[in-house]
Amino acid sequence: MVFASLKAGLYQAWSNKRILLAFYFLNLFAGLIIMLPFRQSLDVFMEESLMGEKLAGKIDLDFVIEFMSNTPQFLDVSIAMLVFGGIIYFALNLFLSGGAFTVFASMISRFFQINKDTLHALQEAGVPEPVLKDLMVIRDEVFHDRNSFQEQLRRVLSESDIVEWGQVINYFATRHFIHRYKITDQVLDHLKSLDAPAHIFEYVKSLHGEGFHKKIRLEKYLQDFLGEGQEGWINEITAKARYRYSAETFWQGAGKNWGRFIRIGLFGIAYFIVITLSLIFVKFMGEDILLGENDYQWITYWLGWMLLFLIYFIFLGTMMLVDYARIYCVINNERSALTALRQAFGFLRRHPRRPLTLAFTFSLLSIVTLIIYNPIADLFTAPSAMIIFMLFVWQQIYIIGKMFLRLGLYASESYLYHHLRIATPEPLSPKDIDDSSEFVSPEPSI
Amino acid sequence: MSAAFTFIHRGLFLSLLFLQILLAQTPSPPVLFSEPLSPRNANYDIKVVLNTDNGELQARQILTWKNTASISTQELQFHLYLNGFRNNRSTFMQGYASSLIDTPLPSIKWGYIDINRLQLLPAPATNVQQYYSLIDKESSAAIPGTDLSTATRFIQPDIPAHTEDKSVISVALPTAVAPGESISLYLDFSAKLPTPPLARTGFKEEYFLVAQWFPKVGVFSDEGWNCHQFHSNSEFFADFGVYNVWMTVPSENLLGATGLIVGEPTDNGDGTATHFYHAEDVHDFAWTTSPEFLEFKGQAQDVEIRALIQSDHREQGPRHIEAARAAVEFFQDRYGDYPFPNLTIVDPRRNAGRTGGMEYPTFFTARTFYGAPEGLHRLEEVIIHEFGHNYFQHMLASNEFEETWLDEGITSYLEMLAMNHIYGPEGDLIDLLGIKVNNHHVQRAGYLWAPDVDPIVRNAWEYYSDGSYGINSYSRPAVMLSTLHNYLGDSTMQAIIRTYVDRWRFKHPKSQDFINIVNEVSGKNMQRFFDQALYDNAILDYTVDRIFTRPYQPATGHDYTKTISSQTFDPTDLSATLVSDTSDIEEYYHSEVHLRRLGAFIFPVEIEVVFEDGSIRRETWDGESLWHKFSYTLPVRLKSATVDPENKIVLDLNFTNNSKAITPSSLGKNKLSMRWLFWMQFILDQPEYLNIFSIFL
Repeated sequence: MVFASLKAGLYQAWSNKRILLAFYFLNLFAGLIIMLPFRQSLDVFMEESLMGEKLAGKIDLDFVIEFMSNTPQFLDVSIAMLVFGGIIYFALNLFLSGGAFTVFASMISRFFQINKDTLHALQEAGVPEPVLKDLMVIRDEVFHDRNSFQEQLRRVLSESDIVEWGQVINYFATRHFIHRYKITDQVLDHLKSLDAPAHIFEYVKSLHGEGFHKKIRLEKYLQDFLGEGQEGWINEITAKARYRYSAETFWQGAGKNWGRFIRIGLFGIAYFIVITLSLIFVKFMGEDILLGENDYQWITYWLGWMLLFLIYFIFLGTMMLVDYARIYCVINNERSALTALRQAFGFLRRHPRRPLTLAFTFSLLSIVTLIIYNPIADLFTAPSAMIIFMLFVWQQIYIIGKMFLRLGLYASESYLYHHLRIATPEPLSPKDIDDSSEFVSPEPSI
Repeated sequence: MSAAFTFIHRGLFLSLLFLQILLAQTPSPPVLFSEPLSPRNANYDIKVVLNTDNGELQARQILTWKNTASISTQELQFHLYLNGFRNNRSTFMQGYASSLIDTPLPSIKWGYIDINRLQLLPAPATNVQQYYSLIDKESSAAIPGTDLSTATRFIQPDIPAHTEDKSVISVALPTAVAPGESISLYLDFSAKLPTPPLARTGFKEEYFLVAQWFPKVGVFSDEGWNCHQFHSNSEFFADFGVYNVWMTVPSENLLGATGLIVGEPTDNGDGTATHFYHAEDVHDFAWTTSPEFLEFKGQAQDVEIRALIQSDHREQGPRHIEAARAAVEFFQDRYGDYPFPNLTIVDPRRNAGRTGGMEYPTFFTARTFYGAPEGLHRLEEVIIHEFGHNYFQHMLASNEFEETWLDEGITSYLEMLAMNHIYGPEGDLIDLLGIKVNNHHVQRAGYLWAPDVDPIVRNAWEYYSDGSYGINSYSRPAVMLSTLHNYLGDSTMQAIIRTYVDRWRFKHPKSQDFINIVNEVSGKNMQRFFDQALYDNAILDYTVDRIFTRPYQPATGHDYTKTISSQTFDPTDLSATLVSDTSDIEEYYHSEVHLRRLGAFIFPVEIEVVFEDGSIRRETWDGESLWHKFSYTLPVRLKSATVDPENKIVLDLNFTNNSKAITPSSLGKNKLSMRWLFWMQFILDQPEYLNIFSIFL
């Protein structure tokens, strides 16, 4: 599941390169603003010095020392810029992330399927054997819309079974996937503009909102209904149904969620600070009480590393909390940051393993990118304009890579959230399902 | 050092040691040097018992002192350094407290030293056996000679206002000690070490660093007594002598000390053991003991190395030995023999950091921490530095109260050379995760921090601040000597230091003595350089203030009728002013380089003037005037000018303003800006991103 989420997330990030650019340019712009005092200080300090040429090669520590001692105001200004710039950047990032989460959520489609996992989960949930046997009739069949799935259930199950187990079956049979094809208004408008036959138009209209993971699935779906000889229309429909980034969705999502995301972000920061400070306090108090001031250096050394790792995991946990709270907000149009955080907390409590694995995987990926970046960047030391330009390009490729991973993380988390929320393989009692029913889109259940 | 000498040296020592074992019951110490290396005018025999429960010392001491001056004295002056920790009114603690600024004094259990009895013995001791019974017996009731206990008074020679300071005591003698005459005194004293340790002395739990612990006679010369109060910013000054010291500590403790152990420790049968150490031609004696020490041993040329390491740092024991080995080889190969057969390194205990990084003859303390990475050579730097002090302070015993730079400054300079030699030209101090920092960068950074607050030479307690004391004792002299090094050349500078060591070993050199040797060996009169560098706060900063180049403007006007061509034009020919305009002459360019001396420090500089055709002119300027201009009329444009193009003058505050280009390159600025931009982008992206570990890469 983690790998599937990772794959789906990276695909979504790649499919929405414009979002990537929005994040990148914000980062670049903020970096440029914060860099300005440094550039200004360099200009003033270096004037027409030949140092301008010398520094094109390796860094000169003597210069760094002189620069720091002769322009002490530079550090103050830079730190202030970094703090204020950082705050603004943080807020704008949250703004963009609203759009990103909205777009990613819009790419996730649902289907229904009775498969091996479903049957196992239903068995664990207490569904009796005869009912499971009846369900075997439609095993592995894919239903893109809920109505057809429910029709099939009515066909294979008795009315009393449906009353008793329908909701549970519906719950465990729900699957999510990233659609690459979707029947949208644009598809219908296109068919209208081509004066498509009424039966084709009506059929496609009935599929409005349905997503398809692969082109071949959509084509098969259309072919099954339209029959042979309709390849022209099928091609028209699939071409138009191909997923395209929607700026409208992105900016609307960004604007709509900004306020709540800022509140979530602030709660997240407060949470992180409180937990971290408490941990540090406990560590030092514990050391003081248990070991006094005479503890061996190896104890303080390793306790220090442990503390650092714990802080890292708190950081990781906080970021996960904030991310899943944002996902919750987007999916459920939740206005209350506290509710979203509470729901995210509940979600992470119920499913700690896979979200953590996913987050940690991205963390490792980011380290890998840095390990790749560093030695190559070190090669660009020659004092030539071309080499310096190449270094710049390499740096920006790295930053874009980081952004890509971040968006991949957002998308993967969204995907994982959908999946774990609905199609959890862990045994659930009907009570659990009821508890989490608020997550389910408010469609009438059977 | 020749192998034969090493062999004789070591053979003699082993024979004497063997003899000592045969005569185990008689306190006859070995003779390390058949010919004394020093005047040996302050000799100490001390028996001390350490109470490890409370840090108390009970000791008896015989001092045999010889007046080496050409005048008589009827007074002796002693340092009682431990009284610096006696209370918060001592000169030391007042200085220490002011250095803490707004921070209250840490919780200290005070240290002190009290002389219980002071007696002038009937005749000066000629060997240790003569008065050994006095310090050996349990009671000292029947001490012969004149009781001087009531002839003592505390004096405050540096800061008379500190009337409660008891770090110097004056003893009135019944008769004057004539030049060349010797006397012996018996002293019975009690002392207590501070905890936690302060200023290199004290104890922490089971760890003891016992330094500056006994009544130590000042230095008497034709100028009178030199016996300064104990200041928070000063180290020491003393005469050479022979030390025989018996230290009684718990049997399970390891002990290290100045000099050599004589025989095996004697088990006293009461849970204690007595260790007997002997040292010759040293001017101080420090020791350490702890049951937690781990012992590491090594060899460097003819020097046996012993490291007493805390169990916390057991993995770093070999690092201590290896750094010491490199230091011994570096100094012996370049600056002459380290005459002592051994060297002891002490690794201070955790929470006793104030005993770290301190030098004593043949014995010094290092400093490290658990997990110190290999690429961080701070431990090695400390070891190299402290070993260097065995030359500059312990052999060349300058006055650290008055001219700190002579030991700390010279040692810091040599430490830079040693680090560079041993750990390579790049990253000799830090070579970690791609970050490379050299020792000389750190020294120069320290110097640039406050280059003109004080002159280098000043009484240690009279600097503006602790920071100024540190900069003017360590980094500024190191940078000054590096400048001299670059100016005179590597071999000349090595010859200077070698000559200085050869001529002043086991004496008390002063700044002028060093300057005289510089002048003599280099064949140049560097007095003015040292006057500015040592006794003034003048800063050194040369700059290329302005450069320009423009087409030569031929003379025109009423008086100019003569016609010449570019082939016959000579700008130095005054008669050529009588010319009329010709288009040929426009191919010439008039260029100027304007230099300024921004500081008061005058030093000759080289200037490199580069023209567009690649030709280079080397100029020199004596730097006497505030500014100087060079002008050129040549058929080529000026490209750039640089003062001190090789950055030889490390004292120059600003290398960046040393050059100017007609068309400056922005490449460097662009690259730095780009790097800065990247780091800003990277940092900005951190909070949202899950790669916090990446900061460690």
